Amino acid sequence: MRLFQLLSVPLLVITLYACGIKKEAVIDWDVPVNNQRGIVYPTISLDSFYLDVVSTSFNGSIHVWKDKLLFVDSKFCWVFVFDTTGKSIGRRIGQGEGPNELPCKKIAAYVPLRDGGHLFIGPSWDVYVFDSSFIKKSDFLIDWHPRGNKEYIAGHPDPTDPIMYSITYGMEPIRSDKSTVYLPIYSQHKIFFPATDAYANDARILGKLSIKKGDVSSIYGRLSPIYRRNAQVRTFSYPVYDLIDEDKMVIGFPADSLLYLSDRDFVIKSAFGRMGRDMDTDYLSTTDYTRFNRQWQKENKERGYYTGVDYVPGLKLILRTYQKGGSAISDGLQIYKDNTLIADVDIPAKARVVGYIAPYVYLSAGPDETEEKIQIFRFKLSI
Amino acid sequence: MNNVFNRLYKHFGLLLLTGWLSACNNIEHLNNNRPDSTQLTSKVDSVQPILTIVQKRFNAGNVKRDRVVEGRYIIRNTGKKNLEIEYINPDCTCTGFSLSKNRISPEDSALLILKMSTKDKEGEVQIHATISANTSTRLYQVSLVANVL
Repeated sequence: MRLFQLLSVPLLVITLYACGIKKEAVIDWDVPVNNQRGIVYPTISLDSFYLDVVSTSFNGSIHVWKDKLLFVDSKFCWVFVFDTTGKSIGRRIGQGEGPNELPCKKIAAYVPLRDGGHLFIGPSWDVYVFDSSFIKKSDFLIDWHPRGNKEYIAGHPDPTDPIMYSITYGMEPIRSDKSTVYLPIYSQHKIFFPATDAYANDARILGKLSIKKGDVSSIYGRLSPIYRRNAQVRTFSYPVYDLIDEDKMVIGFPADSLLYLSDRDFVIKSAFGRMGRDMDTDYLSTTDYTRFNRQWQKENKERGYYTGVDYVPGLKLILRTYQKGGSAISDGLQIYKDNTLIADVDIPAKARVVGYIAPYVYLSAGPDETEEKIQIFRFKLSI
Repeated sequence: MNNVFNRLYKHFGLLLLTGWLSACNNIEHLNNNRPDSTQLTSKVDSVQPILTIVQKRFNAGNVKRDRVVEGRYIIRNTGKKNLEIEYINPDCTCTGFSLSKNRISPEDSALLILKMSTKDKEGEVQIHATISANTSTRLYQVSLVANVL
């Protein structure tokens, strides 16, 4: 009895502490799959225009912001605003030490915020938040809450430690909701990198960045089962995803024909999707670390894979673009409604969904640096 | 006398307040509607230095791995004032540069050389360097392209 009394206090403390720790849920991929296909749109009618010529580096990304199109110049740090016909409305921000300028020489990533503001990430985890009038609200360095140090982790990879990861710059747009930015992440660790079995099993693929606190509160999510089963696909080990409504996500992977519906904590609810047409999926992979990056560059240009997933709230549609690869001269766009494929059509090579401004879905293949032009495509659907 | 001063003060005070509010509005207006540099250029060309790059894109063709490739660019000042090159910023740590001079007189030119290492590179490679100068356009870019065998 006395022993019980003595142990009861420490036991209670341990129990309360253990209950306080939020354990990462085990991801269950064994969910209902919908392969339904009911084509409503055999073709779409694309029209196109060029954005007005502006003084840009022709390096950067195109976004929909409110009812405008933005070209975010990643080298010059300017944001060019255009109307929906491509007419230039003005130039904002830019490099400099002024209160409403970016004190960095490169924009590594950009995401329009839900409140109409803007979030820029520089090359050194430096983040700059602007309001909808392009007035700087805050800046901070991302706190990843690393547990280890780089020297120790070099020989002892730990997939749960944020110090292992970097943002997958340039591969997929970053997404945001009211208070959180969702960062797609990957590791370039020499032992724990995408070609390995350990990576396919344990790599975290997303990070939650709090816009207010400036820290990554958790890294989570996993690659889908195809990456464990098939080593050939591992050059494409990152998510393509978008946020749906208030608490859901649609997650895809470049080498997986399925799309997964989940909550924002990566609890998978269901899966759907069908493979794109004429995709060259004759993937090559290597387990050699030094060859891996070079191989990724080559595979990225030559093979077929899913390049983006976008949710259009106004139409309640999920759009997925894919590169066909091989000798194809066009890429593909799939449109899903209620998890059923309703269109799978050709689009210009390298075109990706930029966003939706009623009544048009906008796409772009990015700036053409050689010709110094930025072409925009658009189409409308009557649902 | 005091009475006159007070009346003047009231009138000027009102005018000053109106002017100040109007100026504040203009600041906001300018801040939200800063014109594109291309619009500015036509108004200030006559007094500003003008930076002209003879060939912005240098294609080195086929090159072997583990070599250093050079791209050469002529930067001309076709304006009326001295052109100051504030910085050159290559976008890869694999790339160094040299610039023959930072200050370029009107109608004079400078030679920029980008030096890119092809170590660990394969296939078509493109790197850029941003040039900042004291012109209305402010920022420029050159690129170096090579096919690494």
